[in-house]
Amino acid sequence: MTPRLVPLINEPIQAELLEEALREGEERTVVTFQSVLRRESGKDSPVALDIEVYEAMAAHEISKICDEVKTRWPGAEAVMQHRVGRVKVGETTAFMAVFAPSREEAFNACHFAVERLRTQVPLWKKEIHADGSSTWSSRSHETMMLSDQDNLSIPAS
Amino acid sequence: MVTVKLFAALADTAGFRERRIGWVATPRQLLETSPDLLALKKRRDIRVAVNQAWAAWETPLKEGDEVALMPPLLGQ
Repeated sequence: MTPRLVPLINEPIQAELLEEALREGEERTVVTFQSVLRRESGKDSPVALDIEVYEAMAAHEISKICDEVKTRWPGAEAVMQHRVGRVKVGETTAFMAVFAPSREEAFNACHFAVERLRTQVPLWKKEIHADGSSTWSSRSHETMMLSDQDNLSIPAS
Repeated sequence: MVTVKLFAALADTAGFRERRIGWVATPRQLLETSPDLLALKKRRDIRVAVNQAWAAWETPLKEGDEVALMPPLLGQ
């Protein structure tokens, strides 16, 4: 039985520690996904994000996604955690781990869960700029990373 | 009464995040008739939830319901 993670967290996500703990003793394929706020060089590039959330609904939607993974891929499970509040460059905004009997199922379930996270969980990101100004974000400033249990990293998009 | 919650840019535009208003039959009626939401009326990209679940604009509302109006999520 895979432990559930606190779905929404207002402090840095400890992705490496979570990954290590979740992989321990796990016999299924484990695919992890991590989204990190990247450093950009343009003058309008954000130095931080403020992530706003509709907390009661977001926690429920995350739970629904995890349940859908179990239903669609028998033997699979997903856990995820999303950051809320102020996030600095280099920090993780979202972490997810998917466990499945095969690598193909794990990657497919992870792809499904990431898309659901992006379209169903009510979260919004405000870009904070170096001069103190802020704007609601209309595009992603995050680097997405997927890895399987052999720690092979490939870009997700 | 129903409780209206606004998020992100919608809250900035309307100038409030949460307000209780008189009962209306549907979220569509809420958006189209509430003076508090006049500034949002012309937007066509708003998503709605009733009692923390995604809902249709014609969802019948009951006394005490919570209606959330939300701008598009980043993945949309």
